This record gives sequence, C-alpha cells and structure tokens, in this order.
Amino acid sequence: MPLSLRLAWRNLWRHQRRTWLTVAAMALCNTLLIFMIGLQAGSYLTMLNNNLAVFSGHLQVQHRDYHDQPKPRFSVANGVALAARLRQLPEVSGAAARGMGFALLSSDKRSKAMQVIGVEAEYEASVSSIPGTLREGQYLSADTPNGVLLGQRSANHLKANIGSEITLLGSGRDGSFAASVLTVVGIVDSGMEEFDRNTVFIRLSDFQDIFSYGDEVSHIALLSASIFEVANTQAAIDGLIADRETLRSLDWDVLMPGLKQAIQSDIASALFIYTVLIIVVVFSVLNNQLMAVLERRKEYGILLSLGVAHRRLIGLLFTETALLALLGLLVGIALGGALNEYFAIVGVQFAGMEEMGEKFNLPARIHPITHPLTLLAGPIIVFIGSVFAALYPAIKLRHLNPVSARAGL
Amino acid sequence: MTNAVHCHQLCRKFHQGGQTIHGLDHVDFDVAAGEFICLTGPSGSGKTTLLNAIGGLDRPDSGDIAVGGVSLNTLDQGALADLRLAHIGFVFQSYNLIPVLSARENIEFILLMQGVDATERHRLADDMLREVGLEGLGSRRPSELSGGQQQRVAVARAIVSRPTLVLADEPTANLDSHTAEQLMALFAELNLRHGTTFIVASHDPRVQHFARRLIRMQDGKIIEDHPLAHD
Amino acid sequence: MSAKLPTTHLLALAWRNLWRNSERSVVMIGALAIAVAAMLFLIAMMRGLLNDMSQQNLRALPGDLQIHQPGYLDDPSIDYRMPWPSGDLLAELDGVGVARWSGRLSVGAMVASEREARGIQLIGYVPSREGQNSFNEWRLIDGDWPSDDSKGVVVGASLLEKLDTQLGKRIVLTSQGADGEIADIGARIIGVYRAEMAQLEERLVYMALPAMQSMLRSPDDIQQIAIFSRDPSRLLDVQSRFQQLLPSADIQRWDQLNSYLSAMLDNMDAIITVLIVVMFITLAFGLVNTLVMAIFERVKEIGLMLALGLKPTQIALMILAETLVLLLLGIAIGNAAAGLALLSLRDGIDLSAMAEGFAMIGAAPSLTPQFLWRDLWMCNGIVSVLGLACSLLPAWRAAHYSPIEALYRD
Repeated sequence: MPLSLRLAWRNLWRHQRRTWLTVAAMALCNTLLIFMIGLQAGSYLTMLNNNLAVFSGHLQVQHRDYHDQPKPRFSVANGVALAARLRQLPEVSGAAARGMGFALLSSDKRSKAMQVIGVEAEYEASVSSIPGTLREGQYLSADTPNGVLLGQRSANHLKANIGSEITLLGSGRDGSFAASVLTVVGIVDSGMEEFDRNTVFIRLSDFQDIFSYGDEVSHIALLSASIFEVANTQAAIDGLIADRETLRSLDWDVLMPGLKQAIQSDIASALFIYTVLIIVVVFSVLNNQLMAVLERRKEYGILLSLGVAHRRLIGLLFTETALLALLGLLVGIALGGALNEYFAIVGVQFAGMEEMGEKFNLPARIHPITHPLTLLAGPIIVFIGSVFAALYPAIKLRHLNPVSARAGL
Repeated sequence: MTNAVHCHQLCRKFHQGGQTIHGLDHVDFDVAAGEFICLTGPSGSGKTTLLNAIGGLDRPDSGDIAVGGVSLNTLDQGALADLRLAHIGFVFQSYNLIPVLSARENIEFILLMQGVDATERHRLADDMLREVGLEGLGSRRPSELSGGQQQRVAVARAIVSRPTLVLADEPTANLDSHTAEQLMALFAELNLRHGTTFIVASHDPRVQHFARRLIRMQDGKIIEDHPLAHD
Repeated sequence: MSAKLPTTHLLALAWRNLWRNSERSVVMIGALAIAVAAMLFLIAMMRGLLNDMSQQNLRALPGDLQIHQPGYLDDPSIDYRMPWPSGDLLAELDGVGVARWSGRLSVGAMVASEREARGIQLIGYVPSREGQNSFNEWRLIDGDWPSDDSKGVVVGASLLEKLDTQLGKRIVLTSQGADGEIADIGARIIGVYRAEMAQLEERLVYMALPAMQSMLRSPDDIQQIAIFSRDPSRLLDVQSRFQQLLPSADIQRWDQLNSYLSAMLDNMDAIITVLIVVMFITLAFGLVNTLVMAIFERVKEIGLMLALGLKPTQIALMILAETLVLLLLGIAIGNAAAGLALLSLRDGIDLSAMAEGFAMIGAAPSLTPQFLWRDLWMCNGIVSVLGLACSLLPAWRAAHYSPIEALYRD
C-alpha cells in the first residue's frame, strides 16, 4: 500500500466513532436505496408482465389507423394466415389473431352491454394468461361451436352458469344487424375486476360469422421471449409485414401508454426521495471531513512549513474521503444485497396492496430484484456525492496559511 | 477555630504504563483560615493531585480531607459541587474561562448558578472587574483579552462569591513576569483584605515572594513545610 | 443551596455554543431543513394525489354519503333498486344534517350510433337537485345539460368521436329493463362535455332521471340516494342516523366506496410516519456526529464547569438545549421552504404529459398538493423528539465526565 494511501487510511481512524457513524449513515442510505430500487424494479416488472401477459401482449399488429380510431372497418385482412406466418418467426414466442366487438348480451334474467372478443382458441393461451384462469367448464375449442366464455363477475351479473343460453345483439362490421344465441362453456377469472366485468370471449370463427368480418381480424397479439427483447421482435415483425402497407406493429408502450407513464411517475416520486436521502448523507460526509480539516490545522501548518504542497494535502483529503465512501459503499452493498435476497424469498407486503393488486393485477406480495444495476446504481451515486462533499473542506485547506495554521488560528 | 483545610494520611495512586505512581503518599497537613500558601515541587511531585483532592474533584484512595470542618468523604458528587460553588474558588493554568461568555458573564456565571438576582450580579461583577483592574473590559470575550487579563478574570470569578478558599494551579505559568507579579500582588491583596485562604501550586519563584508559607513536595510527599518571612 | 442555571441563560449559552463552529452547525441545520422541507412537500403531494383520486373516483356520481341496496356495488344491476324516498326517510333527508340530496339511476348500457356500438355507463339524475360540485362542473363544450323533463343525453367528447356522430344526432341506448326484458330507447345528443380523464369521458352518458325511468320501465325507482352533508366533520353521525333508519341498506361514506382508496386513506398516516422516521434515521448519524464532536472539542470546558460546581444534570441540559436550538432552526427553515414551495404550487402542477399514467391510477393530470396541519405537527414532532433522543447519550456522557480527567485532557 503506498504511503499516501496508508496515511489516508490511518487518518480515517483517528476518530473511530466519528468515522463509523458516517460510514453507518452511508451504509444505511445505500441499503435503503438498494432495497427500494430492487423493490421498484420487481414491482414494475411484475406489473408489466402481468398486465401485458393477461391480454394486450408485448406487441400487436393492427391496421395502421386502428389504434387512433378503433373502428371495425380498420381491420387486418387474412388475419389468421398472417398470425400463422408471424408464429413462425424465431423471435416471436406467441401470436394469436383476435376480433373485437361490442354487443348487448342477455341471459334469461339479465342483460348487459359488453366487449365481445373473438379468439383463436388453440393459440390464445400463447399470448394471454386468461385461458389458464379457467374456473369452471372448459376453454373454447373446435368442439364448442357458438360457445361463449364468461368472466366470473360477468357470469354473476348475467346470473348465468355452464350451459346457460346467452343472446347476443349488436351490429356487424358492415353496419348490419348482428345476432346469435351462444352457450356458456366456461368461466374464467382474469383477476382484473373491470376487465372481468365487461368482457366475454367467443371463437374467432364464430366472431367473424356473427359480426360479418369474413377473414378479417381486429389485431394480432404477440409475445416476445421477454419484455427486454421487444424491440428485436418488433423489427422482425416489421420485416414480415413490410409488404402490407395498411398494417403496422405497435409495442406495449404505444398500446398501453398509461402503464409506462404510471411507472415513470412512480419513478419520479421515488427519485425525489432518493435525492433527499443522498443529499442528507452527503451533508453528513461534508461535516465529517470539515471537522477533520479544522482539527488538523496545526498539523497541516507544520506539513506546509516543511514544504508539502497544498495539492498534496488536498489529494490526501480526497483519498481519505474516497476510502470513507468506499467503506460505506461496501457495507451498504453487503447489507442491501442481503436484505434484497431475503425479501426476494419471502416477498414484501404493503398496506393496501391487496386492493392495489386488484387494480393493477399484481400479486399480494412483491419480490425485490437483485441485479448489478439495482445493486450498484444507488451506492455509486452516494459514493460520487460523498467524494464531491470533500470539495468544500478542500477549498478551506487550499487557503490555509502555514504560519497561522501552525499557531492554531 | 476549625482549620480551613485538614488533610490526614492522604494516599492516591495512579497506574500508568504498568507502573504505579504515588500521586499522594501519606500526606498530612493543616491550613488555618487566612493563610497564603505556596505549594511547590518539581512536576509530577503531587501538587495538582493534592489541589484536586482538596477541591473535591478527585477522591483519594485513603485518608481524610476536611474543608471548613466538613469531611469530603461523606459528600456525594452533587454535594461536592455545591461545596465548590459556595466555598471554593479555582484558578487554573489555562482553559480557565468559558469562551462563549464575555468577561463579565464568566464572573456572573457562578453567581447565576448560586441564584443571585440580576442587579446584584451586575453590581458584584462590576465591583470585581474594578478590583482586578479590568474596568471597561467586561464585555470582551476571552479571545479578545491578553493572557494576563484572562487570568485576572479567572481570579475575579474565583473570588466573586467570597469563597473561604482559593485553589490555584500554576496560575502564572503562561504569563510574562510583569503580569505574573501583578497577579500575585492581587492574590496577596485579596488575602489581606478579605482573609481568603490561598493555596497556590507553582514552581514559580515569584509566587514564593508573595506567599507566607511554603510547602515543598516530592514524589507525593511533603518534604518541606515552613513559614516564609518577607521584609 | 443548589446550583441552578435558569432556562433563558441555558438557551443563551446553547445559542452561543452553536455558533462557535458555525460551518458545522450550518451544514447540520441545512441537512435538517432539506429533509424536513422535502418530507413536508412529499407528504402534501401524496395527500394531494390521494385526494384527487378520491374525488375523481366520485366524479361520475358524487355524494358524501351514498345509499344503495345491498349487492348493488358488486353488481350494479337494475335489479337492485328502491323507490324514491318517502315518509321517515324523506323527513330525514330534508332534515338539518343534509345540505342536499338526490336520487339516481346508473346502469351498464350499450350505445349505438349509425356506425358504431360501445359499452357505457348510463346515469339518470335529477338536474334541478344536483348542486354545483358534481359532474356538471365538467366543461360543457357544446349544447346543454338536460333539464328535469328533457329526453336527450349528454355524452363525452371522446365518446362522440368514437361513435363517429355529432350533437343533435340520435343514438340508440340498450340495456336491461326492470322487468328483465331488453329495454331500448332512441335519444338525441343534446350536450357534449369534457372531463379531466378521457377514461370517464368515454364511459359516462348522462340523461334526466324521468326519461331513464321510463326507458327502463321502472317509474319512480332509483338505485342510489346521494347525500351531501351540511358539516363534513359530522358525516359519521349522519351515516349512523341513516343506518338506523334503513338497517338493511348499504350506506357508504365517500371514503369507503373504493376499497383501494379507503385502504390507502387508512394507511396514509402510517406510511407518512415510516417515511419520516426512515429519513430521520439517515439524518441521525450526522446529527449524533455533530453533537459528539461539539462535546468532544469542549471537554476541558465541560470539566471546568464541573469544577466550578455545575451539576452533571445542568451540563446534560445545556447539551440538550443546544440540540433543541439546532433542531428548531432546521425545522423552522424546512417548514418555511416547504411552505413557499407548496404556496407556489397551490394552483396545481400540470402533468398532462403523463395524463394516461395518472388516468391509470385514477387521477387527473393536474396535481394540487394538500397541506394538513396535522402532517406538519407530525413531521416536526417526530424530528424534534427523535433528535432530542439522539442527543441523550452524548449529553449523558458529557455530564459524567470526571472533572479532572476532562480538565487535564490534552
């Protein structure tokens, strides 16, 4: 260890308690940052996965005007065939065509206006978690012509059971009268209250017949291997649909702008708290180093008289501060990492989380994520801020006069 | 008449670096009221230890001390503090004054704690400032006073509550000889005028010049104790 | 005689001691002030957001107190209906505790224009009974709100666009009638409104209650009685009076209607406390350091004071007083800074760039901080109490220095 480093290290331990207190402040701040950032990342990822995997998918292929004006006439021709071709892309892990319409649904007791979604029964499960939430009966299939799948809440509302007949009344794509009699084959529970209350599923082929869609579909929902590979997948899709200029692909960011903005505004408020935490800790470090410089005036005076340059002393001060900050960084990462690992196993539960879970389709417990980024981002900023805090004491040191300093003035 | 100070077989040991140092080794001595004693001896001979013991700042390992007839062994920390406040004045070599208080406030500090009302405090403090020759400097902070002036303030504070005993530890150590003489003359004058007992620990010959009894210590023992005659 | 230092002198001494090392004190006070200001600001923002979410949640169907048939909130169907109030209930509604009240209908329905069909929420209300703090505060951009006997409907601007129709055109509304049969009616669009949240604008269609009653073939029936209390602080009393009168009815206060919001409202104080305590603990290390240093460099002086006869408790009190002055300064500056920031934002912060994100959590894209004195006292109280607690150990240690050790320390 070079002498200057050794000197800085020893200087640090002249006031053991003071050093430990400052290290503790940094370590606590780092632990909090690691935990909170890990928790945020965990909840965002869960929120994204849950929301996108329930229904919308990571990407959709639509008519280029459909997103802005979701009208039946802006549809995708030959949708089923296109979905089959998209499914062949290695980047695409799931693809399914859908038809979207509104209709009044009536059981023998109740009526309700609801969204009617036509799905490719054999592929829907590859883009949506809803088929997996079957509570009663069976999912749609080739064996269920004119079958309808209800959400738990819409089934309650219509007072319908498996086997109940449901009358559908609406208008077709061409403005004609759309009507059919369907049989309840299954009941699902998406976990999203509003969605569950207002949505029913039928087979895409039935949908195309009832709403006069022919071979048209409203969109094709797609999943990529993970949320981080959406851009790649989108490029591959765009390559495939390049020859059909009425179509375009949209990623989740465009499909559900609220989701990204909700995350962004949450990040903004969290950043505010982090900034304040970091400022408070930087102030602690500033005070610590200010004290160190002030109480060593005589000593600095002697060193300056001996011919040691100001910049050497300043260098020593920054080395000492960096060592201090490094201790805080290491202790913080150790504690924060351990805390994250622990809660990654047991999960974190907040007050109001169950209610929030229903709103955003989140599980009752959130598991923080430990990733080099969540582990290092906070502590590195604290480290930089802490070293920066030595600037003011360094300026004081810069203006130290050897004679008066030696006299302790 | 009870003695101002009575010490009997005082012992105080210190441990330093594995060695036992006899700070006080069976010390016996009595001080009558109104005496002016110079306590001398080389450094480490036990002067400061003895003063601390008499002032109740430190407890001897064995032996008795009585101040004004009251045995210190029977008093708890709070009662010792009260005794110091009411009967004993201290003057130290340095760090004598509270830096955030002005000269007058340093003097008043003792009176304040004794519960003396404000008008009386101001009057007494002004009297004391005049008595120690610092008239007009009362509002200065210690850092704005010279070493001699600071010691004068310390003396004023030590005697403002009219203690029966003043203990001074090397009060002239940081002073030039002229200032030192002035300070000792002030001690002597107060001793004469108010009958206050002074015990001044010092190896400064100028102190001996003003004292009327000399006690010399070495290795925690009193090796010499005799009156000083002045012409 | 007992040594005593009067409080005023104790504070004066503390004040001077604080400025002996003015840089250190300024840094500490600065850290305190920033933390306190940031906490107060953040709390007011959180409260503002929650408040806004609660209000937006009620925007469609406002009311301090809402009476429904049990089951309606889970399953808003026409089956859960009740007659227009009469007898004792009417007397209570027209009584002293109630500023005004109204009856409403609200059912899911399908609306179809010539080109499009949509699922919507159809709301029937008595225009003359609804006051100003209701949905009709929404900006009407075209046409008029209905009168009591009007047959037309008022739709949101974005629904109008989705339906590809315009003011004055007819639309067909279809829902389930009170008899269980399908009920439909053709109605003219007589007004177009804009709401803060596009989500509501797309979903809520309003019409006069009598017209809706006749469409649903339920003359005289309503699904909801909305009550606006005269004195919001007496709402609990009003609620229990109505509950006595209608033991089987589902009577909810505005803050109970949404389970997520009521859970958040209930937990808000706990969340705020945790936030302040966490922030304080981060601050505490620096505070303890400052105090320990302040005592450390003054050991001789403390020894001197002890030697002069000052009691240990007095020394401890002196240090506590110094801490208190430091805390109060930091808190005062922090309060002032937060006050200025909140005052400058009292008209709300425009967050329309994030409108859809706020819509997702049920808030309008304009955030108005909500300041509560209770939060101020809680924040200041926690910081003061914990701050003084931090100084107890250093103060106790200082008080128990041995005077000679302290005096002769190098």
